[in-house]
Amino acid sequence: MEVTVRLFAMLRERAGAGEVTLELPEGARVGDAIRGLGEVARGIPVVMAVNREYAAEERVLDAGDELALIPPVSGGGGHP
Amino acid sequence: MSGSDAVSARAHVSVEPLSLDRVARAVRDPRAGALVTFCGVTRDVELLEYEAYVEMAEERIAAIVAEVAGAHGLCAAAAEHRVGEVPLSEPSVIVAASAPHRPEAFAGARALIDRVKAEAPIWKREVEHGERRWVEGVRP
Repeated sequence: MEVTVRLFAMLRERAGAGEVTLELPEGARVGDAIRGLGEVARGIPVVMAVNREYAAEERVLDAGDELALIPPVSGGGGHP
Repeated sequence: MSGSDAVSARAHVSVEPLSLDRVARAVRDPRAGALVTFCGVTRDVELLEYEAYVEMAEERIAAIVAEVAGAHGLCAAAAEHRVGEVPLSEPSVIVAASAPHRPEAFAGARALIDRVKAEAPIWKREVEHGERRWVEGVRP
């Protein structure tokens, strides 16, 4: 199945695109998608969002899922 | 708070400048004797540039607002986050909590801002003399 993963912030810059498409086997899990992204997430502690909710790496994916790779978040004013 | 009482909860993410008055008005409630607001503002740099996964950020902030309102017995709660460029001393985030008494209102506002910062898929970079640098964040 084909899934599209949206990318943000430093991940978007590193990939040079706002989304990437992956070909994954049926029954693939979130962890498979993260590994399938290869260099894009290397060294960055990412979390996958599936259908706009943070998801565990064991979660099984469906073809229609909305995926987004979330790098460490830094909302709010000033510094952390 | 009894289960039958309605809790007003508002969450918003947009490029428009934020208004403290608007967010405070959103949590006015006849049962509330305390209303606490918090603004997070740009400091030390010319401007901060925010990027968000807007659809998810609005849903996550709405969930946080509803959960915090329930957990702290608030009458109403609201949170708004600005995206795009936010110049020095302007607010990027405003939260508000109203409650019958101040302990719940302060605790609720604190929980709102802490959770929005830790959980909303929003990123910022500092812009100074044309240089841009992503601010280190926390894994949600």
